[in-house]
Amino acid sequence: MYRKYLILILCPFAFLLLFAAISIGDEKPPIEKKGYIGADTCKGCHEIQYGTYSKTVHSKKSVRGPESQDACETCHGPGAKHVEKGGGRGVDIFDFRKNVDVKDRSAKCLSCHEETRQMASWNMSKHRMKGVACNDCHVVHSGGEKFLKSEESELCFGCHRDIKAQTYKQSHHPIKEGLIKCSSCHDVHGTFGSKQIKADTVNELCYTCHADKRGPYMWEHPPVQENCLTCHKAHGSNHYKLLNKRPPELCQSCHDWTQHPSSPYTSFDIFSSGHSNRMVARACLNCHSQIHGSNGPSARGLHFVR
Amino acid sequence: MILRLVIISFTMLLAISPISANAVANFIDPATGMEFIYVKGGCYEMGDSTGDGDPNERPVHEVCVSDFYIEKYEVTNAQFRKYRSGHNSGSYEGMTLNNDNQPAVFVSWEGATAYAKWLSENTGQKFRLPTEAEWEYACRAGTKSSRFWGNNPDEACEYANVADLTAKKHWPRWTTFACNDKHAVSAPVGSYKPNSLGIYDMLGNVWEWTEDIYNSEAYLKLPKNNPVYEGAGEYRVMRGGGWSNGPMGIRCSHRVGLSTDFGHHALGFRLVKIP
Repeated sequence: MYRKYLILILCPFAFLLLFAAISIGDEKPPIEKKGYIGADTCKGCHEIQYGTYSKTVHSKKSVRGPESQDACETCHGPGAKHVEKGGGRGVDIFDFRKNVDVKDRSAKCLSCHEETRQMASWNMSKHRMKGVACNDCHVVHSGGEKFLKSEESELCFGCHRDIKAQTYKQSHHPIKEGLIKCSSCHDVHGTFGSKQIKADTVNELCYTCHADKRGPYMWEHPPVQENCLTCHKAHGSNHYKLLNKRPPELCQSCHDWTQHPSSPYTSFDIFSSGHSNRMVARACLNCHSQIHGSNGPSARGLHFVR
Repeated sequence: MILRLVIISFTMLLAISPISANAVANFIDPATGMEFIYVKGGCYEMGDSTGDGDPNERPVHEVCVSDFYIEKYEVTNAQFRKYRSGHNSGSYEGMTLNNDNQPAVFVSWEGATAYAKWLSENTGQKFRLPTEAEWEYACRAGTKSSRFWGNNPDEACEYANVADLTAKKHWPRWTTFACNDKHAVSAPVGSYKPNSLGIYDMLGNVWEWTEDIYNSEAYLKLPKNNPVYEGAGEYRVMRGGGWSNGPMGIRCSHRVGLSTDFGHHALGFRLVKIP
């Protein structure tokens, strides 16, 4: 009888001992903190940087990387020697200046971010291959959107000036109006597609907004199905609807200009025949308004007239 | 005969001495009470003479400087407040840096040069920050060791207010000297032994701004006589180390470049006067 009570009393203690043993066994060895000085010392000189940093997600205790020590030193490395020598840019401290190797700078960020979904294609990213480091675009001391150094499109245009020029043409995607961003179409960290676009093909990307152009159509216009960029510019054009050329020249890039009303007329033809009325309204799309594809019946649909 | 020999020997000793002071009377500015030590010009080996420094302290090269006066002490809060009455050197973790006899800190390079300009205009004398070459010449005071008291860092606490065992009690992770100077933060100027020129706190207490623009390879580019780097660069050089620095920072040849608008708890200055 007493033995039964004794077992009931001792059982909980036995379980407690077992859990304690398991938890001790799981404990990782502490990281050696040699040469680390602590953020309190850093902020003695770098108060502004620490102040802005401490408001960001990076400063949260829950965010800890593999090299994690104390805040600043997670990325900048151990700072004891730097302090001993009185500081100075890059003096015995990891510095993110332009003249520091790109791989080393990015490696600091990648030590935490490498295995994230966003960085999955970084190794084949054109930006990486062209020598762009994370901190060329991001600054961890500020807590702005995505830690970007400046407003997104202005940041991209800092290098891609030709694209900026295109967005100022009369027909353009509304980037400068702020309705879309570069990242609406491109993934700067790398993708499988060309031009780092966020889809497998150009058309798939365009269809995310311009779904009405996807079809399906009874009468398909082959270049539309093939590549939107056959007729359109992506960023901006001096021709309406971001067209590469003004119709009819655009259409005549494929269609024979000697046939149908698209035939050009000589000065003789204009003044000697009744065809002169064809000199106006010849922009193809006036009649072939369903140029992306048509479900219209018979020949009208076939010719994208309706 | 013996007396003559003694006099001749003494004269020769003076002649071969690499650096001599007080041949001309020192100068005291009546407005601020700042004392200036006369330093006779001469030539010396500038840079990392013992091989324990950073690459920016090399190559060691001969430099000659003209005569100048240098402040006996670092500019104090009281002296700086005669120019900028509201200046507050603040405190570090509850310990004041703002007493009248403590060195003025949180003064940018621009603030320090503005102070020299103000003093020049008010006294008719010509004051400015020391060049790196002048500063190191005054620090070394004829010595060739890392520090003007010798190479032994353990003697630091007699001559300089540095990161020491007192500081270690407050900030255990700091690299410190293995001695006790009894001050955790900046000390009243002149609290420690001077160098052989009679200049106090040339090492330790607070860093001191100099005139030169920082360039890590300046020593390869500068002339021998009165060099001062004025090429491209966004930083100015500070010298001497401060109360928060360990052995590597407390050396006569150690040089650090900082942004001109930067000020911190262990960075002050002293001036030179041109004869």
